[in-house]
Amino acid sequence: MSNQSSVDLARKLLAEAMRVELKDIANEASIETTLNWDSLVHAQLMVAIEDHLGRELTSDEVLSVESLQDVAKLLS
Amino acid sequence: MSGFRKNRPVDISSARFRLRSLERTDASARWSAWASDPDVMGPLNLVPTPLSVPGMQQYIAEHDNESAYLVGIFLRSTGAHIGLYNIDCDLMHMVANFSLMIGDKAHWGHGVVNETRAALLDHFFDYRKMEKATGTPNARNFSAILNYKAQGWKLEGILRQQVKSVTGSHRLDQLQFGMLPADWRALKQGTSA
Repeated sequence: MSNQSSVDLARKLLAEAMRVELKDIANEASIETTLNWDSLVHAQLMVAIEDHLGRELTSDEVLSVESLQDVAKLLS
Repeated sequence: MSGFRKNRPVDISSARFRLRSLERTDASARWSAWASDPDVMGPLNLVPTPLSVPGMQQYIAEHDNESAYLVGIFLRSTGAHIGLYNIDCDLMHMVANFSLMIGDKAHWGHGVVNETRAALLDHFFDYRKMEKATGTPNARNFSAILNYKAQGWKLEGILRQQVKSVTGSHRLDQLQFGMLPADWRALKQGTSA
């Protein structure tokens, strides 16, 4: 389970990639349900995650990201 | 549509785009600029390199519209060329391998890939009678991976350290996504194959 700080950070990175406000990112945000989570946003988000972690993501990690909660898990 | 004939160029349309096999006259400075843009070429693990018009024409000529297709993506509204597909067909096993480049960055993130690829899947399954489609992005091509997943392609495997990175000495994983005609028909009908 991701802790709240990881969720908050995930929300911040996703909001920055989508160029929207934090309040516009729901806890349940996912690729399937979030219209503006497109391929360009996704690429920017993945780079932001890697920048935060200071390393490249593995293939399994890249494939795991489909929702805000998935991002939070990577960041926790 | 009439029956399949060999060496017949692609010329189809989706709602917003015309998809047609490139011809010698499509070699352009616009295309050369894409090939020298690190933002475009980097995710494809290709070295940015400007292309000459004769070089582009030679590349176009290498595609026979039977086992190899080079299909341009053109805006229906203006005719502008914004990207291309390279589709290699294994005619023994009837497998079509798709790769693509959206060169015009103004069109990134606007659903170009999955709209155009849907039209091409219809065409290559129904008209060219391909029995499987594959896509093999490297693991650093985040946009491509998202698009394959979003369109319902199945991840069939991770080829570990399959290719050399053009940016350094390390190697990159390559992912294989696959689509079968039955999968595609089920997806279009909103059911599971």
